[in-house]
Amino acid sequence: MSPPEAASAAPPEMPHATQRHSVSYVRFLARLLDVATDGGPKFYTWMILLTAIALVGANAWAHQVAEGMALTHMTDHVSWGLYIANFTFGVGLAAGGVLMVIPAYLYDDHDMHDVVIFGELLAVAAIVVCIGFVGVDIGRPDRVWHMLPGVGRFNWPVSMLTWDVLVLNGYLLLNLHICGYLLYHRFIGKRPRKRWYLPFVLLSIVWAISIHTVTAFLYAGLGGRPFWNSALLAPRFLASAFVSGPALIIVLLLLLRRLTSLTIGEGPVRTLVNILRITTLVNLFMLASEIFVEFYTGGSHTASAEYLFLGLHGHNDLVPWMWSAITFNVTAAALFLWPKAAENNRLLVLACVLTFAGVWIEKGMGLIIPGFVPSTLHELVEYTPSLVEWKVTAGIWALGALVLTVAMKCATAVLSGHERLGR
Amino acid sequence: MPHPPAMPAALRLAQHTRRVVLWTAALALVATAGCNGAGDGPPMQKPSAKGAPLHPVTYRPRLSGPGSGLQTDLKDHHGKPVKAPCRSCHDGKLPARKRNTGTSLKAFHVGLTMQHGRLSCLTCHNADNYDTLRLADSTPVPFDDLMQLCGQCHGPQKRDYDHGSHGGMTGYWDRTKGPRVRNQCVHCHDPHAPAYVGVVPGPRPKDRFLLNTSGGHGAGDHGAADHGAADHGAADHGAAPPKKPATHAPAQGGH
Amino acid sequence: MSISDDPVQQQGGGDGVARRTVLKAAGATLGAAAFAKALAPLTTWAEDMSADEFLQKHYKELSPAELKATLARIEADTKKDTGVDVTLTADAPIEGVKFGYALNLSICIGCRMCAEACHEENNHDRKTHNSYIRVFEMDKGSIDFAKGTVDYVHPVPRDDKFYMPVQCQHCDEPPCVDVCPVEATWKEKDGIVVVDYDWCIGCRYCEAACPYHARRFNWHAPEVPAKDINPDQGLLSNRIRPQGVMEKCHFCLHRTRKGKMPACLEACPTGARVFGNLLDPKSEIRWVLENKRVFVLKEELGTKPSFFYFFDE
Repeated sequence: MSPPEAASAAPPEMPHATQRHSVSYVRFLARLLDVATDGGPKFYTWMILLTAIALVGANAWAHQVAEGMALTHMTDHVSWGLYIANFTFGVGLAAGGVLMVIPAYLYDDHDMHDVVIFGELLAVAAIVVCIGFVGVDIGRPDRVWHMLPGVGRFNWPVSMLTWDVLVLNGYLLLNLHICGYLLYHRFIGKRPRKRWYLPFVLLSIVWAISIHTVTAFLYAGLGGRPFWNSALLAPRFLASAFVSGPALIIVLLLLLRRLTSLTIGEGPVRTLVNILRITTLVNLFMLASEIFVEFYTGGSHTASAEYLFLGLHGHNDLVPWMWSAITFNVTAAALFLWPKAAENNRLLVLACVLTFAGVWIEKGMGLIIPGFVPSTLHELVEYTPSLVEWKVTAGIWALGALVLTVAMKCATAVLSGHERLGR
Repeated sequence: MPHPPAMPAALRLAQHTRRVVLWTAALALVATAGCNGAGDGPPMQKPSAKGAPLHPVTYRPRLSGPGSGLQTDLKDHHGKPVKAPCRSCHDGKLPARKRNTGTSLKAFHVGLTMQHGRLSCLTCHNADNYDTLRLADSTPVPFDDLMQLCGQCHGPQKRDYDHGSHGGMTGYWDRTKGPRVRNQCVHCHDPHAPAYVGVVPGPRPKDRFLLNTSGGHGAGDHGAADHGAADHGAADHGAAPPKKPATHAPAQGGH
Repeated sequence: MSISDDPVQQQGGGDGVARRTVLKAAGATLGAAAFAKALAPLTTWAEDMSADEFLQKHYKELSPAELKATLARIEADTKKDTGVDVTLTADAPIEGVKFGYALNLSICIGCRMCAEACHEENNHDRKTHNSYIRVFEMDKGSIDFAKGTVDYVHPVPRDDKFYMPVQCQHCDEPPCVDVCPVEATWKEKDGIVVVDYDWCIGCRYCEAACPYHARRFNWHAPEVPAKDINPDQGLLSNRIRPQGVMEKCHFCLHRTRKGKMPACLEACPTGARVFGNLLDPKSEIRWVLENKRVFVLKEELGTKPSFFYFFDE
């Protein structure tokens, strides 16, 4: 349970300081390890709970690998399910986490600077979740090495999946570096050097957009699946990412304010609410555009949308989910626009939770499953996840929550000045 | 593809055969070799691109019907089926030139209904030698050279057959490497009622989701429906490969 | 997640820290042990896999000697697992041959004999009754799969229906090949799109990409009773597939590369299926393409199938 920053070797700042950094960096890591595993009863309860869920997931996954993916309810008709749905949502979360970087650095909003680190740590945890979901979805995890350049065969640049592998891992490293570097410098009490982080921060903005774009292209490029084969898919992905990411960060900031001594001003939360006011509406607008094109045009290409929103030939498993998602998102958008709600933390959290859940449905099951229903030869086979799939999914989210908790705990300790070199 | 309800040809032939056996009991029986000849059809005249010698195309033997005689239920002392040659009855009888159905007959071929245009029996059967058939110009042809006979009227089908796009076959696509065996018209089409009568299909896909869902494409439990209905099976059209001849009974049982 | 009000941390050195460290170490050990226990099912799975199997190279990278060794290894593994002596071959594409397949919709009767033959020829899992061919019963008057069914059981053909078997179209622009992240599927010189069952990682992206529902995933290890195993097997075709990898129609390349007809064609009672060399102007498939009204499925997708459908009249 070492903090994720440990993986990122923050490069020594200056050649002559190598010796000093090699000592203090090790101390930094040691302190973080200590902080990450220390806490009160609440902390331990929380961590044990998450570990237990992760254990259940790990066990379910081990069975799935050994006995075959027949333990899932995926079929040759619906060949991607809950895992890829959560993967897609997770990518959005990772991209959305970095949204706060834009006001902080592009608009030089100093209130946001510290908060940015939380967004990037969220991105790190979300990427861990994404990699987890892709990992459990493949039938032969023992052959992952086939993808390694050099020993394997990496079908780049033709396969969009190889792009996704590159951008996700790149994004992980990028965010680990930025967080690791900034926290380490806070730890040793030095001003971070702009040239060691600012270019990376700016790059991470572009990169955040790229991870979600590439993930959208993964689906949008498939001509045989008209439900996905839309140029609006990538923009829609981004719009929804910029809903789910900030929504989760608002909740996290309010939690941090309550649970830690870290001062988190109203500024960052207000900025995020302002962002959400726009992005929830843009997201709904894009959804409306898709619905219009699908249903006004009609034809056999509408079958998937019909299945999703209305049900098709008596098959309507997804209909209640999708209408819940729309209800959640519309309610949340209204709450964000209502000035009183923005000042009332309870209403604010409610709006955030609603829109988070709404996007989870819309970008997850509501996007992946209808791509397969009806099948390319118009066979109607529905899909409901199996218990094994739910267990594995819960396990991966628990793992993500573990990573996020540890990362936030370490970051809070450093940012609040509790952890400092020589203390 | 009209498919009027018709008694399966195999069944008709079987009934017919039984009657023949009764009536011919007193007649001199001619034991035949049982094999009505895997008639060596003419190899297709198609030189290969490489000029390598081509393996022959042969006709798959007909499984029943006349040729060297009507099959009977009797067996000779070698255990081989006994056949009654057509001439044992037809010699010494005047041909009924206008007859085109067996319904008005009092004996022999009684159950035979013709549903083949306005042809009469002697359009194809040779009154000069009932053990052969005849072309429109009176040229006798053996029973195993049906393609030529049918092709007189069914030009497009004959053309397609000659180009390998009608009629089942087994063997080699590359005839420089091996031979080919082809179905004849009568493997699927009863010459007296050639419209295709239909078969019971093989089992439907059994993917697990089809077993779990109901309605639409995925009907729920299906047991009997898939199986045991093979006696619906039509004429002697059999699936081509010799390893599973002429039956459409689904071979597998496990649900 | 309380940090500032954590008393222990402020307490500093002494027994507290030492006790904590011990407790932490114990917790970590316990956690690790629990995870090892949770992942235990993986050990039996790993035991079944030999090092050679794990390190098996990509098909295209095998030297002739390595190919021979691979064939021998898989033959031995099959013998060990099933007790059946199989002959595994790896026929190369024939020079000057590009395979094409055409299907006559006017005379297909929907009897599913092709799907059955595929099932038996290709050592498909018996329980799920897998086959690379799905036969659709469609309304006459349009080619609308939305009105098609695959699970009809009544005698065929019906007057108001036509029948459309669908299998891999062996596209010249195969979307499934493009999307594979590890090049485990590719188009051979004779046009056959193959899968390297030893290289596929089982991500199923190809299955999502295929517009013809031609690909199948081995959701579990296929089971075929020893007596039903077809011992004439091809490395890239009908050998018994491992669990967790993709498979698909391979035009029976273990037969067709020896000059034989594919199993589905031999099973077709009506002769609706025409198979041959597209590069041979005298072949039957070329006659069909040049003389019949031919179409390909979903032409608008630009996949350029090598599988054609045609009508007689």
